[in-house]
Amino acid sequence: MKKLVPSLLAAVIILGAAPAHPASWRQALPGYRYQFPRDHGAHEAFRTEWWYFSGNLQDAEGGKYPFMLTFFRAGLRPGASRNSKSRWALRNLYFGHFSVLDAKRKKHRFSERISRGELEQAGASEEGLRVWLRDWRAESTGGEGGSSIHISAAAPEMKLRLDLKPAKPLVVHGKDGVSRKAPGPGRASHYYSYTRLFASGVLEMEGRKIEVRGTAWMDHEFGSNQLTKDQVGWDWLSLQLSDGRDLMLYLMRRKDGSVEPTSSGTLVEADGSAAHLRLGDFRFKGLDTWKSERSGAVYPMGWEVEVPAHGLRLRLEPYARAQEIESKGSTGITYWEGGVFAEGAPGEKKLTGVGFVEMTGYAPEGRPKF
Amino acid sequence: MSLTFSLLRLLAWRRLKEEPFRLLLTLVGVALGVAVFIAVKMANETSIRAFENSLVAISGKTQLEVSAGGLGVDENLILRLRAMREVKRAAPVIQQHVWIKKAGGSGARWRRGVPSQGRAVLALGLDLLGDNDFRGYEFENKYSREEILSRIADPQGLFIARGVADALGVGVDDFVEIEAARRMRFRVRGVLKPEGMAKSMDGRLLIMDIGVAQEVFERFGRLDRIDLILEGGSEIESIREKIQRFLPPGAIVERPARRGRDVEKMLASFQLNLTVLSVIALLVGCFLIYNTMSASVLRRRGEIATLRSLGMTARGIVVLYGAEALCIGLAGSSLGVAMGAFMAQGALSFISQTIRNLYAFLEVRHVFLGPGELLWGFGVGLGVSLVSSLFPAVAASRQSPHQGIVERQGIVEVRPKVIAVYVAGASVAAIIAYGLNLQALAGGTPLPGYLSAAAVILATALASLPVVLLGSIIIRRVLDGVLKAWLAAHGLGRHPHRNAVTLSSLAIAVSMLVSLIIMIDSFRATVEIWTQQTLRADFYAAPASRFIKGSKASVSEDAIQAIGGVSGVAAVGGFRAVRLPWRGERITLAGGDFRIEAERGRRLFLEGDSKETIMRARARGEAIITETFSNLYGVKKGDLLRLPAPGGVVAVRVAGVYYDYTTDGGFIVVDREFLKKHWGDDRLSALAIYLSENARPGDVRKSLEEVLDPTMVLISNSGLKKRVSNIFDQTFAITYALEFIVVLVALLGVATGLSSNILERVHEIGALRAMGLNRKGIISAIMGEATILGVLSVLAGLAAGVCLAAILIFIVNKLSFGWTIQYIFAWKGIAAYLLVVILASLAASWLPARAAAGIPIREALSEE
Repeated sequence: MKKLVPSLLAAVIILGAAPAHPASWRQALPGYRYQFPRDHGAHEAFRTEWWYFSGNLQDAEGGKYPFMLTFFRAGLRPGASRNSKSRWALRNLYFGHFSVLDAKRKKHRFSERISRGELEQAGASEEGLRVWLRDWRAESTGGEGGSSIHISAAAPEMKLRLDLKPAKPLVVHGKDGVSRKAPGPGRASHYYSYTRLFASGVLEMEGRKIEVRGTAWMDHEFGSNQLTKDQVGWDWLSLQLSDGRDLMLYLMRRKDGSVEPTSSGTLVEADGSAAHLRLGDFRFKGLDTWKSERSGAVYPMGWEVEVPAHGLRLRLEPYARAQEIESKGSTGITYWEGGVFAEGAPGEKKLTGVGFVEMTGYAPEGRPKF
Repeated sequence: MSLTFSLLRLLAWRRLKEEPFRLLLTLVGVALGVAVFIAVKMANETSIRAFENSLVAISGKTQLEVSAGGLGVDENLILRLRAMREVKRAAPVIQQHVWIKKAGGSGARWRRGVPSQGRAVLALGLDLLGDNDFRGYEFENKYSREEILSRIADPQGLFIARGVADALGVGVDDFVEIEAARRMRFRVRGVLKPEGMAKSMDGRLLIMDIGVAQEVFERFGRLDRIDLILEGGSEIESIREKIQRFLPPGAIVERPARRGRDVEKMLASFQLNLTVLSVIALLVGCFLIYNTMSASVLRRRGEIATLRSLGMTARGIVVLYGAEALCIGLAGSSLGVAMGAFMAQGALSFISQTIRNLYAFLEVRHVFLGPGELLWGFGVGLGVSLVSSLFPAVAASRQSPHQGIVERQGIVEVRPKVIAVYVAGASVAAIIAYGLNLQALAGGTPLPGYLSAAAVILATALASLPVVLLGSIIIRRVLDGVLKAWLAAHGLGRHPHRNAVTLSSLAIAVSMLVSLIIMIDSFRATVEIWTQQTLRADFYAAPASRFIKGSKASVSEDAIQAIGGVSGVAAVGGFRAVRLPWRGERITLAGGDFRIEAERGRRLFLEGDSKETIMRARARGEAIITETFSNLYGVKKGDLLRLPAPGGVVAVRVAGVYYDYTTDGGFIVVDREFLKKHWGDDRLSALAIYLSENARPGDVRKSLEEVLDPTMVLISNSGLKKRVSNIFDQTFAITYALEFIVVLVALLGVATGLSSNILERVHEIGALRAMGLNRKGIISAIMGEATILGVLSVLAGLAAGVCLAAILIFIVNKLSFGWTIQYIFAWKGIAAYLLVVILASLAASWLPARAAAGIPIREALSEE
């Protein structure tokens, strides 16, 4: 343990391998009953939690700006007393990841933050959506149960302020309130999304102040021991289609190259009704690859997505290939997270879409341990 | 040159054969002087170095630190600092002292009312997740990252350095108990490798997360320090000024090294005292060499005359004697360095104990013995040997061939003119000493006081020749007809120069002894009178960790209520002491309950009545200050003190100055309500408990123990007085030890002086024996001479000692520490000590006397 912490932070999420008190963290189990707005807030009984926002923004000249802003909470000890009068009492670590791509200039920027939550420098309300990491924040406007969401983040040479208005009600993924990541009790999370949010606000990049609009996506997920030891990472996709439908898919990848059979997805109709997709119901595959010079990781690129029962056949391309993120100063995970655009496969009816793809576990260093 | 060396070899070898005893004594004397000198130097330096090393290790890469004395800084300040462009990292620090014990083991039970239990350790509260940029530390065991995080986040967990683990016999996952604001049980979550910070203070250190530390020390909302690392290329001084501008009053930003200077300053007077003593040991060692060399010169007048007749130059003679002194110096210094290294260890434990008692938490076990230190000691020993031999060597070189041959036969006559010069010299030195004292008092610095002491010693040395001659004459007159006494006195007067040197070294040692006895006795008596008069409460209560010097421990003021409710308790006074930065230094501001103080306490004011002064101070929001504070900072009654407080500067007028012997920095006392109002601090450092008249102390103590938190130590009035007295004794233990060595060296001087006398008088002794004086008679005569020398030394030393004591008490102590000490001459103790010195000089003469008696008559007479 050289120098206690930096490497330790590089560890994040901590959470998977050797749980110090496995019994004490609450497990994500079937039958969970969501209660909003409370469930927008933090769930400190669970070990890991994140609030994820991504979207594809556009300026008046048609410039494209995919963005991602994520707040992570990592619980350190289950059942830690919350009675301490010290504003330094250590219960959670908070991490923040913020990235923006200027698609035209192919400039991808990433910024990260970490905090132990001292002096209320970071935290998450347990009443509703209000999570912050110094001046990065996401909160319901008009109170914690309010209908629209404000997010903001600032880093050197990039600053984002967005108002997000849900175009559809939120969707709970999985079955019976749990999104399974592996076989066995508790190998799951509680996971819901706002799959389509109207976004409007201001993006500042390199001194330019840009009025932006677009569509965004929000995930909120919490659980305790989702990953198993034989899993290396996941491929995840969110997509908002021109016909009003939204799609979420994920594949849990195992060390032997196979895909966890519990991997699944959700298709949300234009009217907000949702259908659960099993692994056998869809196909999500990269047709090409891209090698990161920085991390040495080889990522799939140029994906083919099919959901035959719902008549979907799509080709996905990234706005830029170099959208890899190395979070050495916070979670330690190296992953690819980037804006993509979709077109109907040749011969299909004219369907387009925009979305985000997230791929973890490809870099030899920096695999996630959630 | 080579001739000189061969001569030297020849002469020195002969001397070694002739006078092994005297040479040995000289060597031991020089060695002791050198040993004491370097032992004190090394122990002093080691203790300072221990402070500085721990300071450096604990500040790590900190470039600037923000602090605000004992009250600490508002924790929100860290956010403002972090927002500064120039600040790269800002880390919170809580630094306290606690008692720690192994939980559940033998001796794990905390005994009530015993202030020092378990081990005193330095406790640091750090942001363990973000601190690595500042301080390096590693765990002995390898843990996974998640394991480390979980261990850090344990609110009942802490990390100990190897030193603590060894001292307590605990390891990872064992339980320990610490006494801080409360007694708390913790699990050892990791042991730190003995490196860097974890090695400082002999590894008596524990760390915990800052959140845990705030809980443990009930220090919510406050930090003891904020450590800063600046962005690269920053101009530290200008940033320091920029930060200082927005800090609230009372908070200061400074470089960490600054605290090291504070420690040095705090210890300076104490260490200077010891250094002066050690220098005296060295000086007495010088006299010894001077003595030996003078004897050697006198004894070899004939030899010198012969050499000079044979054409050796005066310079050659100086070189010859210088080389001889060099040999003694080399051998003595080598021995001294070896002994010094050994003695330093003992001196260190004395010194560190005193520092712990009086100044600050210090754990240091091993003397730092660098080659530089050893070389320095060696060089000093060699240097003083050469300097001491300079006069005898020059004297020898001035001798004309004729003079030597003639004088060898007869008595050394001292001309009246020479005596007059010595008397005049002694008088001038005495006058200078007096003048220096006046100057010290006028200037307010103790340095002229030390010079004055040196002048007194010089006067004593100069006066010793007249004293020897006068003594010899008086005794011969008074004891006319008593043959042995006459012989003894005659022997004394026969070699006045050499005997004067012997006398002066013993007299100087005696004067030091006398002055220290007077000073310590006076100090003790003064403190005793003071404790009798001012410690008036029946019980005192304080958190146990308060008994670690430098601790900032405090308890909630709820204790006043709890104690007040105990039957038999008439009144409870709360007392709070906090450190404040003031005029670039740190002073102590105290809050006392003035109403109770006025009614029940009795402080001794320089002027004015206690009750009246305190009541007036309470009514007008004024302060009273200790005499020490008044002396050190030149603050007088009626002056206005401008003190930094969180809300701005508070101006307080001084209502009175009172005597106090608790700390050497002194303090300002205000009414506790006033302290609460302006400094927003309502905690207590200690409580004074007064019982009602018919209460039974034993019963009340039991009830008090029930209501008090178990970490509070309850001390009865007599217990506290005893504690004060014990600390006093511990403090002066090293002074006594050093003094003992000085007297020992001086006694060696008596023995060598006499033995050279005897060698000088072999012929005379032979003649006496031939005339019918038996061996016993010879022994009596020689020992009588020693007794006379001893008595004369004691008388001269007593006279000088009384003066030195006055300098120590009225100048050095007053100006270094600010204490007023009543001059008390405890003649019984002094008489006992002096009798011991006379007996010891008698004993020292035993061997030379026997040697003299053993000289066969024929051999003695044929010497010529």
